[in-house]
Amino acid sequence: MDPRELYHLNLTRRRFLSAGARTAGSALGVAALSKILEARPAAAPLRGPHFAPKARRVIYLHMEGAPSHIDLWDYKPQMRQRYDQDLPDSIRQGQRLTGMTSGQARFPIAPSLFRFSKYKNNQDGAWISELMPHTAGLANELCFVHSLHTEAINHEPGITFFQTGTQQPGRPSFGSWASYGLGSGNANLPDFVVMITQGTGNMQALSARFWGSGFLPSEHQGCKLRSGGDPVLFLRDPAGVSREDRRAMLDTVEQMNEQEFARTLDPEIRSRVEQSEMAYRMQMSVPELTDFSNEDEATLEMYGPDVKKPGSFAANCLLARRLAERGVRFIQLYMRGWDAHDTLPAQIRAQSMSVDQPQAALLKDLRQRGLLDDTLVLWSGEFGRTCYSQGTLTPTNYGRDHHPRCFTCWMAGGGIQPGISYGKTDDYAYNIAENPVEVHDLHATMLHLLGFDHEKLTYRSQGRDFRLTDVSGKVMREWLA
Amino acid sequence: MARVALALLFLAGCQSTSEAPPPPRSLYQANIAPILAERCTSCHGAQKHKAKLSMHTPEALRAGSESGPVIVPGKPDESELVRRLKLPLAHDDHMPPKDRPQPTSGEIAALESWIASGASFDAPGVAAAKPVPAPIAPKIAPADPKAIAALEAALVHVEKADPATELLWIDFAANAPKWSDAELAKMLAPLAAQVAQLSLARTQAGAQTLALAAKMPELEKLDLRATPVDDAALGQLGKHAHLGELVLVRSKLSDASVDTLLALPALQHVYLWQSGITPAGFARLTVEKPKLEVDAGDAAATAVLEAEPAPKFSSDAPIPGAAPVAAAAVSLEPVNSVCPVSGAPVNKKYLVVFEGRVIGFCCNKCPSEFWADPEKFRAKLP
Repeated sequence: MDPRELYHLNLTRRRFLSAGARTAGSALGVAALSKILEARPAAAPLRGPHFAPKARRVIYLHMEGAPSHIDLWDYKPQMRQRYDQDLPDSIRQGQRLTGMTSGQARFPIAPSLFRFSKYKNNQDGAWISELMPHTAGLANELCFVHSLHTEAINHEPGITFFQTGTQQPGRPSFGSWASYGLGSGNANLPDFVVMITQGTGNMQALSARFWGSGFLPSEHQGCKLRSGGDPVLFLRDPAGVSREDRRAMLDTVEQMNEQEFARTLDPEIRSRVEQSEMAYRMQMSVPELTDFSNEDEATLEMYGPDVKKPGSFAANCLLARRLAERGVRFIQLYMRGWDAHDTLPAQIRAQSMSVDQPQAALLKDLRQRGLLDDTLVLWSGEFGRTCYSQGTLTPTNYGRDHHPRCFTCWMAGGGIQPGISYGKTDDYAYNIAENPVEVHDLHATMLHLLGFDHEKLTYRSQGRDFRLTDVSGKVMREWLA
Repeated sequence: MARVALALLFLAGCQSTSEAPPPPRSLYQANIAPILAERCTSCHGAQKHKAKLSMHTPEALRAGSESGPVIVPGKPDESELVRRLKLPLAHDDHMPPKDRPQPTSGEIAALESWIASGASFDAPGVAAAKPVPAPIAPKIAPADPKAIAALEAALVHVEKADPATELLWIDFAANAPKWSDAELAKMLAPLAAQVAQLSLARTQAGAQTLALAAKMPELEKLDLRATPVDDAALGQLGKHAHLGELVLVRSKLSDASVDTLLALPALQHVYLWQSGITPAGFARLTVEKPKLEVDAGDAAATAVLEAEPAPKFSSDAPIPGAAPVAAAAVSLEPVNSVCPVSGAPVNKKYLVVFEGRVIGFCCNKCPSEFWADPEKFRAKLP
């Protein structure tokens, strides 16, 4: 595009946004804007999907540290009769292991300690562990994928791959792509919101770049809501500064930014202006968002006893529903602490207890409010865990190492076929036996549900068109409702 | 069959676009011959007949080429004509040659459906025999950009419901509680023709807005969650012909609204959690409109089909690849009560293990007959 044309568009857009903010919520100031609005090119396309979407927004529950698929979702009764036997070479096939277990003399099979039950779904039933009783009660809403696999064997590259489609840091996060493609659903809140829950199990680093916007304009980066004190830092006006003063200050800074933009045409200046305006609007919208006082008791009870504890998974699930109601496009929750290299049974009990009731409540709450139809919920870790024990195996204790060759995720709502399972693993939950699915395929399918052709949602950076699915990915039609 | 029907529709469509009503011609004359004339007969016609094939008359088509018939009536997949058209462009046998203009997919589909329907040269053309009205695509005027801009300036989200159409999805989520019924109606009025999905959740939407919604001809989905909508306001919707999904969660209704819901002819899905409608109201809806999906927020938890007994660990499963270990039969109770060979009662003195199950016989002679051909007796086993 001709830089002069770009300048004109940006100018119009910026004035439009800042003026809009001043009259937020009232139609009265609109008339005064009409002059500016007329300058808007008549044929300017509305931002949005390539085709009619099934999902308007995504809630992505990321289980950081990689939960054991073997103890939660991937039922392997066959392993119970192979307790403490060595993992056969025919299964392992000499594949790489992490440095944490590659030196072990033996790889003894560690069957799950936990009982599974078969729950009715729209196929022949779903076997789910006793660790997730509330979630299991929604089996008829869930689409399980048992045959997901990833390239990465460690957390940092694993999460990076899940979030950005590549193991190397620096590309935009999924939420940033969604924000870039869909635009805002609520101009008073960021398009991409991130919330973190500290788990009780073994935790790994969680870098802010997981929700970074990479080469996309920086207004598309994830906005982290903090659990303690102010949900968003530096949002509150300093003592003695009124809202009018703040407005006047922003107007002056904007004028100066406009001069700088005219001089340099640097798009980051536009991002900066938009972020200042967003922060100004969030001064009003965030306190309203995080105020649970109008939630009724039954709802709070449904999310479980932790719901009033800021930062708990329960509180974040309730916030996720409130964000979804308010039109936020991509809501990402991280639950830390699933990295159980040792004492897995004890760790996974506590971890599961923290997430099970809240996540089931989130699904039910979305459903009863008519929001599940167009909200896509994804639950996944960055990889799975080994079927053999890391460290000493006893009948009541074991650990599990990282396992990228297969793991389970589930989805619900937003155009996903409810109550099905896809893909199978072998008797050891070690290799994929049927219908392998790449992370790129998952991304392509999720973008499809949001109304995008994953091959066409691109952004040019350093002379190349980039996409979330890189050079791969296929839409999994079998999952679509 | 669906594809044939579709292609015939395509043919009908071709015909109905011509200006004067066509004379009663056969389907072949009206629709097939022109395609062949356009794409084939310059090489396979009256002048040239490459590969001894001509396609300009029914007789020539029936005669086929030097290597045999090109059309097998009723079987497009076995017809050389279709096979060659559908080969990859780079293939040596592909027709027309790759440097010549290629038929459109619609034209190929038309040829296929004609052959599938018997490749008759005198069957009447669809449009000539029975005029089919062209499907009337709903023509929606583009939305007024000023009306959209005014909404966006007030931080209302406006997006095309489907990028292929002019229909809109409008969501008032930002600043929702500040939107009064009157202002909503005022702002939406200029876009009434285009609104397909309308999210008014948490606004003050009421009778005025719903009276306007009743006049939104394309409205399919209406979200009135947590609004002060009451029976009278909802009644404004009247008999909206299109509305398929209605969210009335946490509204101020009573069972009086059941009649309003029953009067909406296209309604498929309604969300009524905390709407004020009672279980008696839900029951009436379900009875009087059995196809309506009513979500009252009271869905039961998924049933447990089967529960695993407390897990017991052992190492007695064979290691894959290792020599099989003979399994000991744990119970010597036969699974059958009558002898599969003779039909006489089982005598527990004569037992064998077959496929891991204990089978009983009446005497010592029957087992040998059984083992001679177990398949013969399988049906008699329980």
